[in-house]
Amino acid sequence: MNRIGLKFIAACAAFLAGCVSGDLSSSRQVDLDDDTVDGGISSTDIRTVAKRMCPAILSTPEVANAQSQVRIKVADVKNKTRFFIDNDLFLKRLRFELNSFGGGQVRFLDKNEKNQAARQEVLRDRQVEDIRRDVRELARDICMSPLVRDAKTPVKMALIPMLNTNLVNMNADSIGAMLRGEIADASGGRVQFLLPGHTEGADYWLTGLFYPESLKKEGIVNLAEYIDVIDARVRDGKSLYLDTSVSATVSPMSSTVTATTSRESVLLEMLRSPSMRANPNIDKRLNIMITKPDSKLVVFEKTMLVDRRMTDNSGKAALILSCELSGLSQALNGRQSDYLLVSFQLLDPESNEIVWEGAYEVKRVSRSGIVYR
Amino acid sequence: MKKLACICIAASALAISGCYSVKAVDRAAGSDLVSEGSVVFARAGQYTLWFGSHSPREYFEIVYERFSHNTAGLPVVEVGIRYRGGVSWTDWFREIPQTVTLGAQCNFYDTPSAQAGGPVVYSTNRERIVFQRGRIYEYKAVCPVRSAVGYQLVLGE
Repeated sequence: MNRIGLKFIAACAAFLAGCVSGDLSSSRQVDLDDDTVDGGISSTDIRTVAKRMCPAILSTPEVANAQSQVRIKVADVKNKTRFFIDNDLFLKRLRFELNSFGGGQVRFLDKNEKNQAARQEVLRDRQVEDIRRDVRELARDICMSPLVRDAKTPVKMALIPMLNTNLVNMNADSIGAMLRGEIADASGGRVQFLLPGHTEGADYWLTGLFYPESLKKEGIVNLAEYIDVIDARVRDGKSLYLDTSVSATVSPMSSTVTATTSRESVLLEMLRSPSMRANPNIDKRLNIMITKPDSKLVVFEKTMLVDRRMTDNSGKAALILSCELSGLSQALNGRQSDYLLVSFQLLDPESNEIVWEGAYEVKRVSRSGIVYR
Repeated sequence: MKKLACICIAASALAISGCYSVKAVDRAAGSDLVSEGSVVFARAGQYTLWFGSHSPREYFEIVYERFSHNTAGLPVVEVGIRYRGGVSWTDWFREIPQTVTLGAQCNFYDTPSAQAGGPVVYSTNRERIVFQRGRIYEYKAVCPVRSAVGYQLVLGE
C-alpha cells in the first residue's frame, strides 16, 4: 500500500509539474531607453532630444501665436561627429513627436524622393483632367461670346498652328484639336471649321501662344513676326506649317522673298535648337486668340494653364528647421570619450533671423570599438 | 486507506488549481495610489534583512518641486534633486560613488494626480541623468499636451 501511495504521489507531482508553465525564455528585445552598448550615440539620446525639443518648438512665439498652421521646411542635417548614423534620424524622431503631439499646429514639407515621385504622378494625372475641363469651359466661353452669339450666319473659323509649340515642348496640336472639337460641340452648328491647313474664306483665325512664366529667355517667338511669316507663306501658296525637316533656302530673287525666307530661317533655327526644346520646370500657359484675318485684330482671347511647375511648395514655409551634430572625441590607452552636442535652429527665411535655438549635450566614455569614421 | 484517499484528494486539488489557463491579477488598491507622491522612486532591486533596502531614495532629496505653465500655456514640471551621498551608518563600511546615474521619466495626466487612475496623456522617455554628489540637478519636463493637469516623476536605476 505504501508503495502504491508513493507511486501515486510521484505521479501527481509529475502531473503538477506539467501544469506549471516553464521558465520564460529571455527576450532579445530591450527597452528603447536602455543603453546596450557603452559610448556613442544611442536611442536614448534620439528620444530625449525629440521629447525635449518638441515642446520647446511648440512654445516659440512664432508657433504658439500663429493664427494658422505653421509650415516648416527641414534643411539637411550636418553630422560633424565621428559616428556613422542616419543623419536624418534626429529630425525624423522630432518630426514624429511634433506631428503626434503638436495638435496640428505645425506641418512639415516633405522631401522624401519616393513620396515626391508619387506626388508628381498624381499631380500630372490631375493636370490632364484639369486641361480637359478648362478646354470645355473655354469652348463654352467662345460660343457665348458676342462674335458667335450675335452672328447671323454660322461663323467660319480656321485653326492655325499655335506658337511656341516645340520651344517649350508642348503638344499644342492636341490641345488645338481638343478645343476645336469642344467648340463644335458647344456651338451646336453656329461655328464651322475649315479643314486643317486651309484659311481661305475664314471669318476668324483660331490660334494660340504658349508662354512660360519666366524671366529667362525660353525662346519665345515674336507673335507679329510669326504671323507675318505665315501670311507670306499663305500668299505664296505654301503650307501653314514651318516644316522643321526642310531647310529654308535663300533665293537670289527679290529682297522681299529673301527677307521672308531669312525670317523663316531664324524661326527654323530656333525650332531646331535642342536648348529651345528643353522643358523647363515652370508654369506654362496657353493664350487662346481669335483674330480677324484681314486686320489681325484679336477679338477674343483667354489664358489657361497647361503645364504647372512641379514645386515642393518651399515658398509656403514659414520657418526652416535645421540640425547639426557636433562632437569632441578623445582617446587614450583604449578608452574613448565623446562629447556630443545636438543643436537645432528655427530660421525665419524672410528676415534670416534665428527665432529659436535648442541644444542637447551628453558625454560618454567607452572602450574603443564603436564604429567610427 | 483513508490517508491515501486524503492524499489523493489533496494532490488532485493541487493539480486542478495549477491547470487554469488564465489567472486574475492583483489590482493596485486605491488607498495605495492615493498615498503615492508626485515624485517617486521605483522599488529597489536589492534588500537586506538588517542593513536596510539601500534604495536610491535614501540617498536623494527633493530640493524643490514646481508645476506651472510656460508663456505658451504648456504644463511645465521643475524638480530639483540632490544626491546626498551616504547617510546611513551602514554606509561607513562601503564606498559611496561620486556620481550616480538614474533614469527619470515624467508622466502627465489629465487628472490632478496620478492617483485618480487612467492613462497618461503624455510621457517623456526614460532619460539617463548623472548626479554628482552634493549638486542639485534641475530636472525639467514640458508637456506639449495642454490638457495635462497632473504629473508623476518616476526615478529609478
